[in-house]
Order: sequence, then C-alpha cells, then structure tokens
Amino acid sequence: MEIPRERTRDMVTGQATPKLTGVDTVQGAIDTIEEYFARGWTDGLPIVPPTAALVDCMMTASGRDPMDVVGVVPPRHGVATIEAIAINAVMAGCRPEYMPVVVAAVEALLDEQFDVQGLQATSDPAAPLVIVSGPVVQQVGINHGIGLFGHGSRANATIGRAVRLVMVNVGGGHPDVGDKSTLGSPSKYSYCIGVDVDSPWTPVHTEFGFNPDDSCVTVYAADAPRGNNPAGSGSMEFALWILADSMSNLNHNILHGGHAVVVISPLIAQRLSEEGWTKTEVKFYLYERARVPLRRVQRYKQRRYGRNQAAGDPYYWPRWLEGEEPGVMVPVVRSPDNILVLVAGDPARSRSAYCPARPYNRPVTKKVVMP
Amino acid sequence: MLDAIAFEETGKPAVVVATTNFVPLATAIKQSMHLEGLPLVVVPHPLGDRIAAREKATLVAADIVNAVL
Repeated sequence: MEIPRERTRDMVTGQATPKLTGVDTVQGAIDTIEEYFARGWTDGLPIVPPTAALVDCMMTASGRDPMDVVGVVPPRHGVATIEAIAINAVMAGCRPEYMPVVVAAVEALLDEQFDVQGLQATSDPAAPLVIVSGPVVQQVGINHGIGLFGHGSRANATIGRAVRLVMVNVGGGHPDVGDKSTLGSPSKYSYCIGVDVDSPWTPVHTEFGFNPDDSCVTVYAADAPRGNNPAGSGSMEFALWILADSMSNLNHNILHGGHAVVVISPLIAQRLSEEGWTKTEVKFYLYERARVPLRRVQRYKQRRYGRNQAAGDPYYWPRWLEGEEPGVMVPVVRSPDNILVLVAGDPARSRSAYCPARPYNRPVTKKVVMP
Repeated sequence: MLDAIAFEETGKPAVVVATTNFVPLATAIKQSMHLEGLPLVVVPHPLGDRIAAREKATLVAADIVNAVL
C-alpha cells in the first residue's frame, strides 16, 4: 500500500502527535490524562499516558518496524502503523507481551473480508469480538475460564480495549461522528476472550486453515453475549437445546446470511465428547433447532417494509422467504458452517452463551507472530 | 464521501450531499483527507423514502449547482 509519508505520521488525531516525554510526576501524568480527555482521545475511561519509553517498549515487543503499515482505518482513514497501534496499546494499559496479539487483531480487523467500515458506521450495537486461541492464550494470561466476558483479567480488558482505541483514535470512531451505533454497547469498551484451551475438539482457528499448534486471533462483529441457564441435572444435549432456543429469534442473519458465535463451557464440551459428539454434530444440532416460524418472518416483512412497498421503493427480500405453507421453520443461519462453536467459561458449570452477529461482516482469523 | 473523493481525484468536480446527522462525520473525513474545500450540501435528516428524498433534492438543487460551478 502506497501511503504518503506525511500521512504515516497521523498517529492519533490527524496531526503528528509527538511521543510524550517528561511525564515523570504523578501530577504530570494526571494532567496528561485530563488533556487526552479534553482532546477526545479516549473511550471515556482514563488512559495510560503514552510516554516515549512505554511506546518504544511496545513497538519492540511487536518485532516489527514502527513505520510498517498494517492498514487504513475508516471512516477517518487514519493510518494504523505499528507505532500508532503501540501508542493505543500503551493507552489501553497493555503489557508489551500482549502486543503481538493486538497486532494480529488489528490485522484481522482491517482485512477487507471483515469490513470494519461497516462496523464503524452501523446503527447496530455490534463491536469486534477478539477471540484468541492457541498456546498464546496461556502464554500471556488471557482468561478463558470463569468470568470469561467480564472483568478482572488485565490481558482480556486491555487487548480488547487497544483494538477499540485504534478504531476510535485512528479510525475516528467517536459516537455520532464515525460511530453511528444507535444504542452502543458495553462491549465497545473491550470484548476479548480466550478459547479452546480445555476443549476436546480442535481449536477454532483450524476451521480457517491454520494448524492446531498455531496461536491465532479471530475477529468477529458481535452483539453483547446472551448468557443461558445451566442444564442443571439435565443431559448435555439439553444444554444444547437451551442454547438453540436462545438463538431462535428474528434477526437480519435470516435475511442477509452471516454467522453466529456460541460459547459452551468445557463441562458441556467434555461430556458431549465422551458421548461421542463431534463439533460438527453440535453445529448441525444447533442449525436444525435454532429456527423461526416462516409466518413470523413474513409478519416482520409486512411491518418493516410496508411503507417501502406503498412508495414503490425497492427493498431486498429473499425468494425463499415467500410462500404460505404452514409449519415451515427458517434457520437463523444459512449453514451449520456459519456457527462458530467456542469452548470456554467456567469448567464447573453447564452454561452457554450466544453472541449474535452483524450479518454483513465475516469472521477473519490471523496468526499471532511472536518476535 | 469516498465516492466524491474518487471523482475529484479523476478531475471530475463532485459535491457531497449529507443529512444533518452526518455532517460531523463528513467534516471529520474532509479534515483527515486534507480536502477541507470539498463542497458539502446539507439536507434535513432523515432522507426518507423515495418521495421524501426527491422533495429534499428539489430544495437544494440550486445549492448543488452553485457548488459545482
């Protein structure tokens, strides 16, 4: 990619932002934090002042040239160099050993298949879910167990936050400027999980052509997770039934394709595996049961597009959602392959979660390259 | 915005028409791409269906022509 040299210096706001020096007092640090709030360079939370020493350390941890261009971040089209990513990683509170994961996540985010432009501009409440798999999960201490989507893990909180700060500061994704999400989401602060450490099946990145021993990041445009009730004394097949039920609602995946991400606890996965279930069979089970009555989908069409029809406006409606046969059930995804099954969470409980997707984005996986 | 920028880069004059709610985004992109002089014509938000959009276009047609000239 040919980027004018002067634009590679647009690190944070569009002007060349010198790395901080002299923030060597508590008051100096506090003043810097306040200055960054005033300039709109945060996600609403205080940042870690990106001093020259901290940024240099983060860049070194990437093993890359600081002026390497990872991509251009829409809609502001700021240039995400390794240096710009390092600055935002420091601001997020990352440790240097997280930097290769952050870089892989930004690479996935800026892949054309993912379509970060659409994610920034959408009115949907979706955010990039950063799914980390492979040996790096345990190497850098990414939480893959109890409290998976919640607080308490520095790695999860800051890696997800670094990715979001790149979208905000480099890409201009501020609310009502470059980010048009109507309601927003808590996951827009940070949305990062480790997966498939205690899984009886191959890790998720093997479904995207990587080796089981690779460390990878898969980025996926997801709404906030919906947790489900445990199976209790029921069978693990009952746990899947509960999960399928939570997926069975009207959403634009039905119209436009797209994916679904489900997270099942290691307990559910291990028991299913002991009963002979493969991951593929779990996907088929969910695909067959996560469905919505065709009549309900058509009622949505009538109420959503009725005015467009009256005005003669064109609108998209798939041909296979026409018809009046009673009892027809429409799958919420178009193929079992569009369901990502992740194993993570409290290994002592039989809970699961469903993360609805934004249908116009595709999950993208990149390898984590250690220096 | 990107379409207008693409046209300008080929030497064809372009005008961006945005609704009021998208003026901050359009302005941010113009600043980022160093195209502060790119004309921007604003109509009330939302654009609406085809009939409403046509009415709004009629209101600003003269502004668009002036911006191109």
